[in-house]
Amino acid sequence: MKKTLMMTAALSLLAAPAFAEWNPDGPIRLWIGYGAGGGTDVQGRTLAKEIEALRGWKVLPENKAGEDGTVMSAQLKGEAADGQTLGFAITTTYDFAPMNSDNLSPEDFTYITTTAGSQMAVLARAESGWQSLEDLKAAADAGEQIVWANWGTQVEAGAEIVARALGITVNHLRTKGGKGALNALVSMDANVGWGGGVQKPLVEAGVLNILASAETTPVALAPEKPTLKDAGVDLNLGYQYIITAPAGLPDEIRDEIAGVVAEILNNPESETRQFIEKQYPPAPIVTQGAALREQILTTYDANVDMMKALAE
Amino acid sequence: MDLLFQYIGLGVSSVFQGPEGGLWLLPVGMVLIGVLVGIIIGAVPGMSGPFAMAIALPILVSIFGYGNEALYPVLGCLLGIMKGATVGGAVPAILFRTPGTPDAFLTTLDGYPMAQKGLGRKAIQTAHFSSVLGDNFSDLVLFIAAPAIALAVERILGLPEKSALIILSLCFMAAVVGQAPLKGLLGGLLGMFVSLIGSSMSGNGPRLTFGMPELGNGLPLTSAVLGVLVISEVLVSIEDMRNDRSGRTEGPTKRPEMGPRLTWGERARMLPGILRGASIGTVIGALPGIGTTTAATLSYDSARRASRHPEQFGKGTPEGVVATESANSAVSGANLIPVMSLGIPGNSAAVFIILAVETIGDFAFGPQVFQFTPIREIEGFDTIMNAGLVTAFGMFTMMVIANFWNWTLGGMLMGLLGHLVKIPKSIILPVILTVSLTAAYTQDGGYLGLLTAAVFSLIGYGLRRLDVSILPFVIGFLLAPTLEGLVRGAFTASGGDPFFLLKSPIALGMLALSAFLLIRMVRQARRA
Amino acid sequence: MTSRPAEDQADTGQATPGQGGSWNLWLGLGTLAFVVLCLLVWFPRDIGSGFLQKNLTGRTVPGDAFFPVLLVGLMVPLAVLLVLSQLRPRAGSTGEPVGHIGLSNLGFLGQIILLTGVSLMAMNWAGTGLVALTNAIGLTAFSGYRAASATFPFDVSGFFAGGVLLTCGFIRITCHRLGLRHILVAMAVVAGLILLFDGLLNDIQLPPNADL
Repeated sequence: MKKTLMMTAALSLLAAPAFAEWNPDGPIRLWIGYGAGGGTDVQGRTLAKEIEALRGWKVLPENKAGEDGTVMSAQLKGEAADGQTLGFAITTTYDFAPMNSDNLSPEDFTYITTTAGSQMAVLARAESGWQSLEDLKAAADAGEQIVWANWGTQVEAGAEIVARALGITVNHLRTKGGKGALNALVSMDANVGWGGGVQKPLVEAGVLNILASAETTPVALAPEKPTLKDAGVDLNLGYQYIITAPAGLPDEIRDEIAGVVAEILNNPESETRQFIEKQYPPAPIVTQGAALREQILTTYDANVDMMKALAE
Repeated sequence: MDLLFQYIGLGVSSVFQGPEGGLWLLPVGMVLIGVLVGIIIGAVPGMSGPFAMAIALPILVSIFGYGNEALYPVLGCLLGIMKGATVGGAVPAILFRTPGTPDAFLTTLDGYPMAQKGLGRKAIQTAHFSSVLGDNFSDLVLFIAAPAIALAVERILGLPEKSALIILSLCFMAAVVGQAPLKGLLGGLLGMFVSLIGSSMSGNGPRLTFGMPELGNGLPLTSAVLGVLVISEVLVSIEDMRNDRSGRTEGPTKRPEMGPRLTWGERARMLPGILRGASIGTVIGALPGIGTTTAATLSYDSARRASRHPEQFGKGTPEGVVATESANSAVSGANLIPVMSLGIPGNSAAVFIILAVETIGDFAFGPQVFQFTPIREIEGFDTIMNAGLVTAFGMFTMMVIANFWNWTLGGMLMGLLGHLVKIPKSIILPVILTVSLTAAYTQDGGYLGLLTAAVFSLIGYGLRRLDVSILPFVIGFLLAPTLEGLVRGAFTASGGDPFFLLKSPIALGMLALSAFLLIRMVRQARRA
Repeated sequence: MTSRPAEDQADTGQATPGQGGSWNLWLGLGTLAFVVLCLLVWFPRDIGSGFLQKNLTGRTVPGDAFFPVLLVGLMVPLAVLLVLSQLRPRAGSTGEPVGHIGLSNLGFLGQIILLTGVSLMAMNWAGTGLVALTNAIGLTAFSGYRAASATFPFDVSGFFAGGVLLTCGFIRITCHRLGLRHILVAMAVVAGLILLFDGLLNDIQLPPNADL
C-alpha cells in the first residue's frame, strides 16, 4: 500500500510539469449522507475502493446519515475546501432541502459530479387492481379515501400536485425514508406511494404496481407506463446521486476528482458501474463541474417557484 | 399448507446456502461460536447473556458489515449467546452458590445443597436437561404463535390500534417491572423523549439538537442502549468494588465431589415438572417486561405446591432445579413472540436481537413478515416470494441449530466449566468498559457514539442507584420513533380528528386497559 | 439487564425509608422543572415547527413539537402523583420505594468522568504529538496529524495511549492498586482491539480518526 503510494507520488512528480496533477495530502474522507447498508452506501464504498485502486489516493468512507443527506451536508460545509473532505448525497439535498433550512444554501457547496439517477415512480398495491393514474382517480371519485405515502416535503408537494391535476383529494402520510413509504403501502396504511428505486424487489415480486414514472423518461421496471408529463402533470421528481465538497474548492481539484470518477463510471468493467446498471438502470449519469452547478441552481429556483405556487 | 412447507423449506435451506448459492456454513459456525461464548459468559458471575450480546453486536457488525448477507451470521451468533447463557449460568450457581446469570439465582436454592451432598454432577445434568428442554419447548411455541399472532394482528390493526398497542405494552411493562411503577413509567417517557432528539419527520430540519449538526440524525441507537443497559451496570459494579476495601479475593471455593450421573429413568420422571416449568416460563416470557426471575420464582413456588414432598425444597431436591431452570430458559424463546409478531421487545436480550435486525439489511420485524405470498417462479426472471418470511424461518432454523449445540456441546462443556479458572471481575470489568466504548466509537459515528454511550451510562447509573427499572426507559427509547410515526399517521389519515385514537373500539379498549393499569399503579404507590 | 435479586435486596436495604423517600420528592419536582424548562425555553428555540402546522393542502397536521409536548405533558400527572404520594402518604406508608445517591456516589462519578476525560484527551492528542515529534527529529515530513491519519503507527497511536490509560485507570479503581501485570493486560487488550479493528477489518476508524 505504502509502496504504491510512494510510487504514485513519484510518478506524479515526474508528470507534474505536463499535467499539474493534484494529489491529496493524506487520506480523503468521503462522507456518505445515508446509513450503512443502503444503495447510496454501497455505491459510495465501491467508488472509494476504485478511486483508491486507480489513483492510489486513500479514500475513507464514513456514514453520516440523516434527513436525506442534509445532516451530512450541514457538517460538510464547515470543512476545509481542500478536496480531502467530500460528501455523497442526492441532488434533492442541494436543490430542494435548503429551502426549509436556516443553515444550508445551494451556494455553500462545490458540485463535483453526479453518478447515477433515481427511478422515481407512483406506486400502488397490486391487489388494489390499479394500473394507471386514471384507475386511481376512478377509485377516488368512487369515494375511496386516498392516503399517499411520502418521505419528505418535496415528494409530498409532488403528490399534492398530482392530486390537484387529477382533481382528487388525498391525505398525505409522512413516513421515515423511502423504505417507510413502501412499508406503509404493503401494510395497507396507505394506498398510493412514491418510490425512488427501493421498490424494485416488491414490484418484481408482484406486490406493487407502478402507475406512472415521475422521471423525464419511463422507469426501467415498467417501460410501458407513461411519465407524469405524458399524463399531463408537469412534474419531474427524479434526482441524481452526487459528490460534493465545501464551497470554494479550487477548480483544478474539482476537475481532477470529477475526472477520476468519470473514468471509473465509463469503464464497463468497473464494479461501481455494474452496481449502478443493476440498481439504478440503465446506466450511470455523469454531469460534472459548471454544468452540474448550473443544473442545481436552476432546479433550486424552479423548486422555489413550485412551492410558492402550491402555497397560493 | 403446501405453501407453508415451501416457505419452511426455503427458510431452512437459506441458512445453509450462501449468497452465491453454494454450501455456506458460516451461520452454523457463528451459532456455534455464540453458544460457546454464551455458555462461558453465562458461567462467569457478573456477566450475563445480554451483556455479551451488547458487546458482540457492534463488533459483529464491524466484521460482517450491514448488507443483507450479514444478517444470518450476526443474528446466529447473538441467538447462540442468548441460548448458551441460559444454560451456562447454572454451573457456578450449583457448584459455588454464585449464580452466573441473574436468572440462575433460584437454582442455588436446591442446586448448591445437592452439590454439597456429593450430587454435583447430577445437579448440573438436571439443570442442563431441564434448561435445554424448556428452551426447546418455548421455541416450539414461538414457531407456532408468532406467525399466528402476526396474521391475526395484521388483519385487525390499523394505525390507531397499533399506536394504542404500543402505549399499552409500555404501561404494562412499567406496571410489572420493579417496585416503583410511577418512576418506571416516568423513565419510559424520558426514554421516549430522548429518542426524539435530532430527527424530525416533517422536513423542517432537525429538532432539539442544541444547534449541533452531528445530532441531526438522532442519537446513535446501539451506543445509547449499550450505555444505559451495559456500561451503567459495569459502573455500578466498579463502584461497589471501589468501596469494598476488604481486599477479599473472590476465588472459587473448593470444588465438591461430583458424584454419579443422571440416569435416563430419572430424566423421564422429570418430564412433567419440566413441562410445568416450561409452560410457566413461556407464558411469562411472552408478556413484555416480566423477566426470567419472575418466571423462575413462580415456577419454583408452583412446583413446591404441586410436590408430594414440599419440605424438601431448599434442601437439595432435583425438583427445585428442574422448576427454576426449565422456567428461566423457556423465557428466552417466548420473549421473541412479541418481537417477531409485533416488533415490541420484552426484555434486554430481545432488545439486542431487534437492534441487530434494525441495523443490518432490509429485514425488519413486524406483522408484515408473516405474509404468505404465493411463491411463483417466472422464467428468465426471479422467484417471487416474501423474502422476510424466508428470513423468519431461517431465524427459527438457527434457533434449532443453537438448541442442537446446546444439547450436545452444552452438556459436555458444562461438565468442564467447573474446572475453568475464574477471571477476576476486577480486571474483566475495566476491559469491558474499554471494549464497549471503542465499539461505540467505531460503529456509531465516532465521538458522537462514544459520548452518547458515556452520557447514557450516567443516566443508567442514576436509574439503577435510585432503584428505577431500566427496561421501560430502553423500550420507550426504542419504540418512540415508531409510535410517533403511528400517532402522526393516524392523526393525519383521520383527517385531523383530535379524538383519532378513540374512534376505534379496539384502540379504545387497549387505552382503557392502559388507564386501568395506571390507576392501579398509582394506588399501589400510595399504599406502598 | 434483568434485575438481580441479590443486588436489589442489597440496594433497597441500603436505602432507609426516610432518606430514600426524599428522592421521590426531588425526582418529582425535578421532572416538573424539566417540563417547564422544555415548554418555555427549549422547545420554542429548538423545534422548527409548532405543535400543529398547516401542510401544503392547508390542512392541519402535527408539527415537530406535537409528540414532544405530548410526552412531557404526560410526565406532569406522574410527577405530581410522585410528589403527592410522598407528601401525604397514607398511614404506615413511605411512598414508592426508591434508592439513594449520596455524596460518595457523586465523588465516584466525578472520578470516573475525570478519568474518561483525560483518557479521551490522550486519545485525541497523542497522535498529533507523535507526528510533531517524528517531524522534529526528521523521520517524517507530514503536514499534520490529518495527513498521517491513515499511516501506521500514527493512526493507532492515540487510541493505544488513551485506551491503555482508560483501562489502567479503571483497574486502579477496582483493584485499589496497579501492578505491572495489570498494565500488561491493558496493553494486550488495546493491542487486540487495534488488531481486530485496524488490522483485520477495512474501513473501520479507531478514535480519533473519524473526527478529524
